[in-house]
Amino acid sequence: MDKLVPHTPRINQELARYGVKFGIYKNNEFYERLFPFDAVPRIIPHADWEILEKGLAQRVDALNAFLGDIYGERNIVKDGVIPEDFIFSCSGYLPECDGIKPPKGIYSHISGIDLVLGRDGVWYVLEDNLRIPSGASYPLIARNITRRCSPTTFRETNLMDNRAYGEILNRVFNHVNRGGINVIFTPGRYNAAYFEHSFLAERTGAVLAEAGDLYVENERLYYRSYSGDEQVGAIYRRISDEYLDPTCFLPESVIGIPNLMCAYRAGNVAIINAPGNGIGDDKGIYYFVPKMVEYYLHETPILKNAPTYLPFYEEDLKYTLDHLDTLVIKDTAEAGGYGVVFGDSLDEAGLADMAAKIKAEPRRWITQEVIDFEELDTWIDGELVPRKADLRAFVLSGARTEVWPSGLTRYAREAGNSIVNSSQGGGFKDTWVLSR
Amino acid sequence: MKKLSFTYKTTVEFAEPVEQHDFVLRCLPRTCDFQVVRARLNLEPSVNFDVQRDSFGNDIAVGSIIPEHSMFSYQISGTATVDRSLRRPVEAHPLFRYPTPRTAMTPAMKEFLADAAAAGMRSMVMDGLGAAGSTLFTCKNLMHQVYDLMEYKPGSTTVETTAQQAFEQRCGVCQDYAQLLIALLRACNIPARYASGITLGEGVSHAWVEAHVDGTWLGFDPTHNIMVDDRYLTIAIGRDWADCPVERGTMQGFTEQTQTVFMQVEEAE
Repeated sequence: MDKLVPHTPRINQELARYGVKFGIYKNNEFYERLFPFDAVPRIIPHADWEILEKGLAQRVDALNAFLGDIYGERNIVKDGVIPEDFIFSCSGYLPECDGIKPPKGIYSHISGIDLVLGRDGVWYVLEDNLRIPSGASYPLIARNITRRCSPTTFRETNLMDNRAYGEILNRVFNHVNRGGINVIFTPGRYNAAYFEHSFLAERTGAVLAEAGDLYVENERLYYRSYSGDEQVGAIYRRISDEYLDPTCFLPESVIGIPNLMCAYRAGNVAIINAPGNGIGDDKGIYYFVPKMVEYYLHETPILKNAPTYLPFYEEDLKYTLDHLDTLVIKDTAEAGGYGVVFGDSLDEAGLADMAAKIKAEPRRWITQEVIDFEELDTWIDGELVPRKADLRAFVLSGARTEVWPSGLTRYAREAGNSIVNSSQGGGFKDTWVLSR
Repeated sequence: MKKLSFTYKTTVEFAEPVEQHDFVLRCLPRTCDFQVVRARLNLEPSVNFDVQRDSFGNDIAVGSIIPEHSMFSYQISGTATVDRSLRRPVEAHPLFRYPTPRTAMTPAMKEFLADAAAAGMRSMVMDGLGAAGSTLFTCKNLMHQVYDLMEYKPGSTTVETTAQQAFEQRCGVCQDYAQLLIALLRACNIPARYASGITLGEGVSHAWVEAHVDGTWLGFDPTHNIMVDDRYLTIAIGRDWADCPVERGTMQGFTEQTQTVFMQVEEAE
């Protein structure tokens, strides 16, 4: 695979031509950046993948069951498995969704599960993304370009084909479709992820639409087209819940579809992913995911969480305060790599300050053991250097739960840095899953 | 038990014509265990609408007016049989125990709550407040304390005013009284929810509080310092005002709006 390295500049040039970009916020200003691609892939042995595949599907099935329960009977709360506080004081819980059953009972159709491989050889889940996880198109398009640069590499390697992503997504669309066309709803071409939206529309055969193209009438969603308006049976929306429908959520949203929630409530359209999923990928709820696997599926969780403590519990608070200098401290009110502090980076005053904050609002924080995760060879400035990398695996839930045999591997730009979120800089790699 | 006949009309006039107007109206009185409603909704301009039930169990009318229009009015009229003695015990949704941004507590409000509790203990000797220490006692006492604290002053607040702001300025209208009482009740771990509606007589819409007491929702009207009875017709409930607005909508054309509301509730034989 080292022979791929010389192709790196050309591949990046092609990616830039396609507009493979993402947006980041820095000092409250929005920047668009190209997402640097490193041609040296992450390679996952087939045996590892078999475990990951089972574990990821299991995790997502449990999360879907959880979402149905929380917006339904709330049994997991009544049975004391999850304290009420973690649900109802969480901003991810949307009362507007209470009691609404999405088509086929699926809430998270596309889940992005972020994992790292520890030096102990164990995969740990760091985060679940159940809202609109992005990034599947990056490795898809990068592999296409790489394949053109070096076709023999792909002929000679026993590598699982990842080109079916569009087909899997299309199956999900059709499974939940309530009658009518499939639509990918984008905030528009000025959005940093517009490239991905149009790419996925092309791959699935769905119509790419903006707010002005869509309207609700008689509890149904319609797409305006020159050849007559068409009903929409499933909408994969690439805007967040709060902007989705100005007559239900944020009234000032100009990129949403008024009364979309009425069409959804009436059961006439599937929203992919369902609104309200933020309660399932909240940092505080993360702690309970292995318990959900046991509670809903009566199975033993296959994938591990990073060892996590909830200062909400007396015992965990004590442990946290005693080991603050070695733990990662996460603020559940922040997202995307923000609000993450490494205890060992704090001086004495910083530690005391943090301890006081945790004691004042224990519910707000989670703490985790630092996972020493593997580094991958990465071509930076003309040499192969080790960089920390994570993996976002994509799990698609339709008639069955399928794990896409690929994924987005993100690496940290700086040596030793272990925050690999694209919003923090860094680049990406292809993820090769070996077929045997 | 009361039989009420009611009319409720709102007219919105736009200084310049608007179009592509999508609306959600929460103006249909709730149908629930203690309230049976027969009502008719008339819209002008006359357009089709769908009636749905939102997550709080409120009936909503949903529709759109596509062509240009300079006014929008909705009139709801009908009859209702209200009998709160028919209320059945029901589990309170845990949501009603947690503060919202509008009903968040501040240190000063916590202090007021502690003082109110102490004042309540002193008034134990007074009759009519129920058994001291009971949930009902706490609710009545806090309603009483909010009523004493606040001055009714129309125009002193807006629909966006929070419980905290109303508390700090010590005045407001029914919405502010209700949100303040809700904040205090939730701080006592008593599930509390916002109720909007209309009451016997003529005038404007009203708001009060429902607290979950011994398994059922009981109404408390802190603006008048009385328990809610069958003269109160409930339209919508929610965590606070934001879940119960009579009208939400989006339209094309930014323009000034003037709103006229007419409301009448009478006893029917």
